[in-house]
Amino acid sequence: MSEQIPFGAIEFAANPEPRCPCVLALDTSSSMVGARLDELQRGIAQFKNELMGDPLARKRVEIAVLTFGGGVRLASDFATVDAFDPPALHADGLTPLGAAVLGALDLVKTRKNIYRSNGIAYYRPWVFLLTDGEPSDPWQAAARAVRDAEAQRALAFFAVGVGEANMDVLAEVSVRAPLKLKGMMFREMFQWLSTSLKSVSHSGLTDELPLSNPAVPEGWAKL
Amino acid sequence: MRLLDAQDRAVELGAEVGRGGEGVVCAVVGDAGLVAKIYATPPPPDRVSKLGAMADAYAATPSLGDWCAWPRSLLKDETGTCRGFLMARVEGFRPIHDLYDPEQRKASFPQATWDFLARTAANCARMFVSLHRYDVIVGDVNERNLLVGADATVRLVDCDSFQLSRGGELFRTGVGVVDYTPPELQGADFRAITHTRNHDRFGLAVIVFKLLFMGRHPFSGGATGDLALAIKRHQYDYASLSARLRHLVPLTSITSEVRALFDAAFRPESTAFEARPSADEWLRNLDAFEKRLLPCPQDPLHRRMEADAPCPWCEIEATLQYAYFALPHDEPLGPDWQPRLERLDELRESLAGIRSPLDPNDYSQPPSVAMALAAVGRLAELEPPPDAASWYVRAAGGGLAIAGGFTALGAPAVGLGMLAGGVGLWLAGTALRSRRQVPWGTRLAQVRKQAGLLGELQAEWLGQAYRCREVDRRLRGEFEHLASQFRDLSALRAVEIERLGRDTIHQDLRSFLHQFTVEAGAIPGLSAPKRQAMLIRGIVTAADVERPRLAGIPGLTPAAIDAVVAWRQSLEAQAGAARKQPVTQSHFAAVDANYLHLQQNLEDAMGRVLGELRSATATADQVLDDLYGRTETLAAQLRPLADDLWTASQGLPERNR
Repeated sequence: MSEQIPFGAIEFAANPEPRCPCVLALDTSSSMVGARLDELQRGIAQFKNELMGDPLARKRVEIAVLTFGGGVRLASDFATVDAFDPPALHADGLTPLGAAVLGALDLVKTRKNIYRSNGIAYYRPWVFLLTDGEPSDPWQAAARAVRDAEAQRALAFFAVGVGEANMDVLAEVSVRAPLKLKGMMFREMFQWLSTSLKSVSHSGLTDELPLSNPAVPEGWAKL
Repeated sequence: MRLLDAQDRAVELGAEVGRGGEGVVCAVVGDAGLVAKIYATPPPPDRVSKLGAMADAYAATPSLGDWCAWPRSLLKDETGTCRGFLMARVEGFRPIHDLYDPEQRKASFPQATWDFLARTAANCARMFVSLHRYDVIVGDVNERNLLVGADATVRLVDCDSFQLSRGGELFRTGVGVVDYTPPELQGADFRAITHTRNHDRFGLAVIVFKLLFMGRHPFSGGATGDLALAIKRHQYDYASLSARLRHLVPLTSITSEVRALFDAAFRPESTAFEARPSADEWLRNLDAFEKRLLPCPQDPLHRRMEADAPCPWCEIEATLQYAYFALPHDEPLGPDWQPRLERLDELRESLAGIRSPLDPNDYSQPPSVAMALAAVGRLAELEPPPDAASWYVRAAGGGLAIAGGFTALGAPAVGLGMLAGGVGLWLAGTALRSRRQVPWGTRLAQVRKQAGLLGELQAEWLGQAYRCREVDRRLRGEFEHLASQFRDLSALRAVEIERLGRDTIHQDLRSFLHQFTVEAGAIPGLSAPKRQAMLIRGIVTAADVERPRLAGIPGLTPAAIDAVVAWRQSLEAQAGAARKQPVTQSHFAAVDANYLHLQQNLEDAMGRVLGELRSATATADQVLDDLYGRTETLAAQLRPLADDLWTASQGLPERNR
C-alpha cells in the first residue's frame, strides 16, 4: 500500500519541526531514595522550565524518561518539551543498568523510525545515563551496543556517576569519558543539559557537539 | 556610562526591551522609533568596522533600514570606544516559525489562512528584493531572525550578520543555519564563505516552501533524518513524501509557476551562477498565486485555487482528522479554576504602596501659634488707657490684615482662606495708602477676633483630617470587599458548574437504557474510533452515559459529548421519562465566559478604587498643608500686632509701621 497514515501523523502535522530526541535513563534503585531522588526530581522540573523558555527548543527537543530500579520502566515516552510532564520518581530495588542502556537504545531506534516514516528530520539523539551504584546485571552487551551506535554516529551517549557509582563500568559503557557529579549538583547538571540541547537544536550541526565543558572548577562534574 | 551617537549627541537609554547572548537592547529616551543594542563587552575591531560600514551605507541609502533592524548609528562611550548601535525598533512581530508551524499558528495567528501565508511569503521576497538591489546579502537566513506582524509584513533582525561591501572591503556573514544553507555551502566553514545572491535565494525558497507547506522542509531528511546530508545530495523529496503521506499538502495545490520556481531553486543545476529564481521572480509569482486563492464553501478558513477544484484542506481533514486551519476554541476553565490571584497580589501591593492621609491625632500645633496666642493672652487684663486720644495710633502694613480676618469670619467656612487672603490684602493696601488712624479699642477687638480665627483654622484642619481619614477608610474597605468577592469567584463557579453538570440517570431507567449500545446507537457525527474510545473506558450502553464520565475521553469534542448525552436523553424520553431541558457544552461555556467577565470587572473595579484612593490622599495632603500654612501665616501676623498693643499699653513708644 502506497498511501499510509503512520503512527504520530497528527503530532508531526501539528508540529513539523526537526526533532532533537533525548532519553534520560535514570537510576531509581533503592540507594537513590531521599534527598538524592528529590533533587533529581527538582532538576528535571527545572530542565523542562528552561527548555520552555526557548521558542524553538520547546518545539524541537523531545524528552523520554526511562527509569531503572528493580526493573526498567518507561516513565515518560517521547514528548516535545511543551507536552512533557515530568514523571514522579520512586526509588526501589537493584540497578539493572545493562538492561536500561539497551532499553534506551531501543527507544531511540523506534523513535527514529517514527520520524522517518513521517518525513521528519532529526538531530543526533542523546542518551543521558545517570547512576549511583554498581550494575546488578550484565552490562557488557550494552557497552558494545553503545560503542557501535556511537561509531555510526547514531547517537551521543553521556554517562554521569553519582555518589558511589562504579566509574570504571561507566567508562566501559560510555565512549565519552564519564562524568562524576559533584555532591548534589543535579540542578546545575540539568541546566548544562538544557543549554547544550538548546544550542544543538538551533545550530543544525550534526557532527560537532558544541558543548561547554562541565568538568571545570565551577562546573557540576569532575572526570 | 554616557553614550554618544555618530554626531556626538548624547543618547539616553530607557528600559531594557530585550536580552541576548551578546548584550542587551534598550529603548532610547525621546525616540520611540529607535532602540539601542549595547554589547556586554566592547565588540572587536572587525565588528566595529563592519558596523561602521553599515551605518555609512544607511546614511547613503536610508531605505535599507525600512524593513530591518539595520545599524543606523554607532554608539560610543566617553573614551570613543564603540559599545553598540542604534536601530529601528521592531515591535509586535513574532518569529516566522510561529506562523508556519500549524499548531503554533492557531495560537499566534488564529485568523491566518493560506492566502495570509502566501502574502507573508511574497513579503519575504519583497524584503530580499530590497536588499539584493543594493548588493546586500542576508547570508544567515533563518527562522529566528525573520519576524512576521499581524498584517503579514515581515522584518529582519540581527542584521549585523548581513554581508556587504563598502570602500572595497568585504564584510562577511560568518554564521549560518543548516536548514537554509544551499547544497554547495553545506559543511563549509561559514567564516570563510563569501555569500552570493544565489545562496540567499536558496534560503528564501526554503522559507517560502515552509510557509506554503505547513512548516515542512522541502528536504525532509530522507532515510537518515540528516537534513544537511539531504540538502547536499539535492534530495528535494517532498513530492514523493506527499504521495506517500496523504495528509501532506500536495504540490499540485499551488500554481504550476510557483511549483516550477521550487524545482528551479532545489535542483542540482541550481548551484550554477545566478541559477536560482530571483527574489523578484518569487515576488511576482507569489502575488499571482495569492490572487487566485478562493475560500472553500465547506469551511471559511480553507483557501484553494479554483472554485471547482477539490479543496485540499477538506481532503486532508477527512484523511487525518486534523485541521491545519482552525479558530482557537475556548478551553473550558477546568474544575480547579481560580481567578488570577497573582493579579490580586499585584493590586494589593499597589494598595500597600498608597499612604493614608495624616492622622488627626498626630496634629502638632505650629510653634508660632502658641507664641501668638501667648502674646494675645497677656492683653486680656488690660484697662482702658487714661488718655484715650493718645491711643489713636497709626496702624499700617500687616496691622490691617486683621480687618481682612474679620471680613472672612463672616464668610462660610468653605471659602474661608481664599476670601481672607484676598480681602485682607486689599484692605491692607487701602490702609497703607490712607494711613488711617485706628482707635485703641478697635485694635484690641481686632486682635482678639484674629486670635479666634486662629482657633477656627486649627479646628478646620482637624475636621478636614477626620473627613479625609474617613474617605480613606471607606475606600480601603471597598477594596477589601471587592477582593473577597474576587476570591469567592472560584467557589461560586464550582457550585454553578456542579449544578449544571449534575447528570444522574434515574434508577428505574437503567435497565431500559442498558438495551442500547453506544457502538450501534444512532448518535449523529460520532465516528467509530470515538465510539471505540468510549468502549475502552467502560461506556458501553446508554446507561453508562453520564456527562462527567465523558469529559475526560480523548478526542471527544464538546459537540460530541452533547450529541451522546442528547442520544441518551431521547431514549429516556422514549421510556416515558419527563423530557429534561438538555444541558449542552455551550451552557458550561456560558458559565465560564460569565466568570471570566466577572473576574475582569472586579479587577477593573479594584483598579478604580486604587485610583480614587491615590487622588484622595493627594487632595487631603493639599488641603491639610494649605490650612496648616495659613494657620502659620496668620499666627506670624498676629503676634507683632499683639506685641505692639502691649508695648503701647505700657506707655512705651511703638515701632513705627
